[in-house]
Amino acid sequence: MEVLVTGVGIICALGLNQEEVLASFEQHASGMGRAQHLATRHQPDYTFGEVKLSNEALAARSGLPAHLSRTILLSYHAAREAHASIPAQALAGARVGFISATSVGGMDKSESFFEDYLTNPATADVRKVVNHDCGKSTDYVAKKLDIKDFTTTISTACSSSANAIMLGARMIKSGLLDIVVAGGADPLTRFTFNGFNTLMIVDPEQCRPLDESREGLNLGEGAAYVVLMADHLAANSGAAPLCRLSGYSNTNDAYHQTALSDEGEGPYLAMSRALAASGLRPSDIGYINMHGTGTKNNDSAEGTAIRRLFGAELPKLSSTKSFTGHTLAASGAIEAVLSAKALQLGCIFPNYTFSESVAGLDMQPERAFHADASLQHVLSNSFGFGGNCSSLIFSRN
Amino acid sequence: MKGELKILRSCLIRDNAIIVDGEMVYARPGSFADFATAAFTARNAAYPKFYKMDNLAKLGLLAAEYLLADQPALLSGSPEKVGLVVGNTNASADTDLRYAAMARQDLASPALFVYTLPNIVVGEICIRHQLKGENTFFVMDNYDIELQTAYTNTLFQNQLVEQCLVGWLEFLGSEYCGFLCLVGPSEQADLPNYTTEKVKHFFTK
Amino acid sequence: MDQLKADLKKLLVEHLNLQHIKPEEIGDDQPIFGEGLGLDSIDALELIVMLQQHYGVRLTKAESGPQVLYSVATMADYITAHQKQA
Repeated sequence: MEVLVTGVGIICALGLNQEEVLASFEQHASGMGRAQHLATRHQPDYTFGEVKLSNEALAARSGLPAHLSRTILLSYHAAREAHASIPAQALAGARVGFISATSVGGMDKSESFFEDYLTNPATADVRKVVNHDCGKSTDYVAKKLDIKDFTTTISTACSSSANAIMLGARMIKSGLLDIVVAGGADPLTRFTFNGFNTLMIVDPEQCRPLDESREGLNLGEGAAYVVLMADHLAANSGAAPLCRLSGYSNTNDAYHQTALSDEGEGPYLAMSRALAASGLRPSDIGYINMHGTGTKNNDSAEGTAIRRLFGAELPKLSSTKSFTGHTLAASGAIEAVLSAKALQLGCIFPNYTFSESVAGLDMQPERAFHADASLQHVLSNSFGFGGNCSSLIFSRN
Repeated sequence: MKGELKILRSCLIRDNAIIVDGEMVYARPGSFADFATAAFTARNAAYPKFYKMDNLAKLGLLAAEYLLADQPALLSGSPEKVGLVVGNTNASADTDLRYAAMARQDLASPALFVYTLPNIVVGEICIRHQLKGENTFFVMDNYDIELQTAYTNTLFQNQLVEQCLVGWLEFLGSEYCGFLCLVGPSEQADLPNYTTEKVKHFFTK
Repeated sequence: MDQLKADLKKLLVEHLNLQHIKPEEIGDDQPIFGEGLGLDSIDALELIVMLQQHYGVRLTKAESGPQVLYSVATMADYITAHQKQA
């Protein structure tokens, strides 16, 4: 049985839905810039990939209360777009699951509650922390979408939503569910921004993934979901698949909490085992959407792992984080959506800029968005703190 | 690797006591910090990284140490084929709150920020025992042993793992519970089968 | 200067949770990364924050972290040279 991707939903710095996101790439317009909604005193000096809507505006579009955590607002916005693609005929009688990923959870509200609380405990609004834990945003969105058969939350840092997609596929293959909406959401918060800044891996300027001159990542925010469906159900209900999820793997680099090993062992194992699972050879891959955060360590380690696996003949590759920023737990799903669109439309996503390859690797990412009708298989990488390395492979159906 | 899936060994840590396969093997009243340090150094005095970890990571590492360190032959799967399937309810909230408190005073601690993710404890266990297999962290309202067991069984059935550490690692304020089992095939008949009921049995001892 | 070094050694042990080492055991010129104290890259970041908070000295990316943080002596020299006047 094959697991198909029959629908997607996405919101990020590039746009509020898949059409807007695609248009941004066509126009080579990145979503990076100064934050307009994140209340940080570093606002004048740092570059972010912010969604171009306030909480109030996001809530108004979805008919949700505006006081909710931005995680829920983003998550519901994207999940709704994905869910709306499911034909009524497929939903009828199907067991549907919602698997979401987040690292922030309700922290955006908790961090402002905390300040109020420390100033005056009596007047701080406790409702702000009601949705703090990671599972609450998942549950809220599942209820709004009327998904009842299964919900869970995965929280493994930057590989979270890739792992959510893996779990969704497995539950369909093992016959536990028929349809799964899987992905993740993370908003910008002061908590994560300041934390990443103390790790000294943030570039105040626009990030330059895969470039020798790279100085770090830019934080981004967003949400994305894919609709996974068993192939027989898709066929019977007229759901038009974008692509097939043909392989996946997760491994641990077992080296350091926040850095990858020099040889990129975890990434190497994740990519090679995903290939083995899909029955493909490295030469079958037409495009790699790299994790490519723009930090010295990631791009070097991931690049080394790619060279180890692919040898002299590299497929086309790029890091779309140069357009979206690093959206943390949402990144696996955002990049899965881009991978699915690449196969559906026959196109390749580029780096935003590039001038010089990472030393010793001679890797040249694509520099312009372009059509590629020959594209058959896409590899998408997501690596999280804690050594958690995930690779997904999508294939033309 | 041959045989039925068994619980090769279990370790439960709560109320400042460490219980391995149902037997108490270490106890020390007092703060968790003192208990954890004393318990860990009793088994392994040569891993200074332990002292820098947050509460959740210390809990996980302690459980793994008592589960694995004194019987190296137990961990017989190849490193790339030993997986971890762990979860909790509060994710990394204990450290999130500490970090937020420090940040409020304009004291940023990169070392503490690292631990504001629930899966770092999994990473620390992997680094200590050099495990490179599939690993994940679920955030659930309650310890859904049935889901975890079904998930882990799938990993074995698809030959993605030869052995797997499963469990529940929870830490928030003064409440904690650390639980890890090593699961894998074995022909030893007297070992408990890997079932929801048996896991529950060791979890509630 | 001697007091500064002694203070630094105490701070190192407290701040980096070096429970297995006493401040007096750290040599003035002993390399603190690598073998000696088992410090890693996150500890380096902690030290940068520590220098800023306790001594008001900033270490930006442009400056040579590895040289300043090499030993207690090099950190003391850096602080003495760059500390803002009270």
